[in-house]
Amino acid sequence: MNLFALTTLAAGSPVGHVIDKPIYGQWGISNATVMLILSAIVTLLVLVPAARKIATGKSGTLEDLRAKGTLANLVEVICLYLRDEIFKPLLREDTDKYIGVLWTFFWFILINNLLGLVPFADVLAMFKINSMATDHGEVFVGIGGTATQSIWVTSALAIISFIFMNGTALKKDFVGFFKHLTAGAPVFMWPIMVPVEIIGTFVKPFALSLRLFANMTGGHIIVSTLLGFVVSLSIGLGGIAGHGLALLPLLGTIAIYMLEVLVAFIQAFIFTYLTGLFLSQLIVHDHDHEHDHGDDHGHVMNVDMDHQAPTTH
Amino acid sequence: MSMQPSVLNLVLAAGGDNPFAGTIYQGIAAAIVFIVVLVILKKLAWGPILTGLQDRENKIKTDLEEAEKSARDATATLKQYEAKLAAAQEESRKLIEEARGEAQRVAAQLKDQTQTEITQMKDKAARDINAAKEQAITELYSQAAIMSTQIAGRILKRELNADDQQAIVDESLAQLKAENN
Repeated sequence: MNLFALTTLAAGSPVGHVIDKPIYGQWGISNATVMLILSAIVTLLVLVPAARKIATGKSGTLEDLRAKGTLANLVEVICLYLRDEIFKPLLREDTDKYIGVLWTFFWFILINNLLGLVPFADVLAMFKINSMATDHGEVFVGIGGTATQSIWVTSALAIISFIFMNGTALKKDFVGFFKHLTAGAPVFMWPIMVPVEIIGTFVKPFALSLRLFANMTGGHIIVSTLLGFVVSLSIGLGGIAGHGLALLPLLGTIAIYMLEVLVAFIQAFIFTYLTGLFLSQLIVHDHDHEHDHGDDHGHVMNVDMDHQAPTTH
Repeated sequence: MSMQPSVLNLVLAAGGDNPFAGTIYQGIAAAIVFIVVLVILKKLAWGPILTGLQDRENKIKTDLEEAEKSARDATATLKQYEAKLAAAQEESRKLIEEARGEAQRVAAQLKDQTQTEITQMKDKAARDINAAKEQAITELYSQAAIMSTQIAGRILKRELNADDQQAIVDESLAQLKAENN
């Protein structure tokens, strides 16, 4: 038998396995929306009890200030890292004002990413309860997949991030926001700088949405493709050779799966970090600019003085 | 046409699956779910967590400040005590010095006084001795004179009256004294 032909035959479409699907044929509710709600519930179930144990106690002893329990400590160490190590250097004294939104971005995206790695759809398919025969043919009714794989979901998150960043900046310093569009360049540069800055304002959320979408989709397509090889080798080829050879893509799948767990964390972090970074560029820029200009003037003056020095002697 | 639709067409042709599958509904759902999660978490999670973290930070900050203040106070107190101790040592040294000087002075005074007293006693004793000696000599002379006159009277066999006797005695004495001198 021709191994290549079997492989392509059994693999089917790895993209089809990964992408969002409507439930009962209606896009009003889909895989992604169900997973979003499930993730929201899990997020709340993880964070709310943890928050109770991190909150200051009432016993009046030093124990009040300690997070109690494994989950609380896990949540605390991540929240504290994001707040103190990542966003404090960017947002400075405003950190605590905006950290709630940033924490929500991180945890919500992270749990969405991680839940996307749980093979709900595949388990349901095993028991044949994820599809139903209707007048319009077989329709998908199950749950599973990754909500953050959908460009629509990541775009919505990016638009919220966009509104959060620019809304905060406008509220904080209305004139400063528009001044920022000139990037501190001299007036004759404004016809170039202003459009570039305006484009940049919209490119940032666009990049956020595309980055999350592409990373989630790409990784899952690799996993799905490798699993397709396992299926095609063990079912299509069969026997000792087929099952033995299937071990290779299976080990590859496990490796990529582990990488995907890492990617889930990294992408949640990147989305949150860039939101905080862009926000800090919008709201914490004045002081830095002045400081930089001051330094420049200082250098220019030094140079002038050095040039004058020989002539005066 | 651009390249993207052709790639997309390829993908669609391969499996009939669109990686951009979905509608605006998914976006709206995501936005609503996110906002709900944000609102609930802000109320039930971020508030308590942030307060907990801030309380701890404040506690650590005040504790550190207190510790620093205590250390400063302790150093100041130590310096104060050291200064006091040094002053006390100086004081005691002075006191000992003074006491020693006083003792020496008193001793010298006592010695002088005793010396003077001894000299005085010696002088007095010498004077007393001289006086007694002179008195004894005088008495001895007078006795001797009396006895001599009595002896002389017996020799002469005549009784001398008291006036004569006295005259003889005085004469003898004067003579004796003259001889002695």
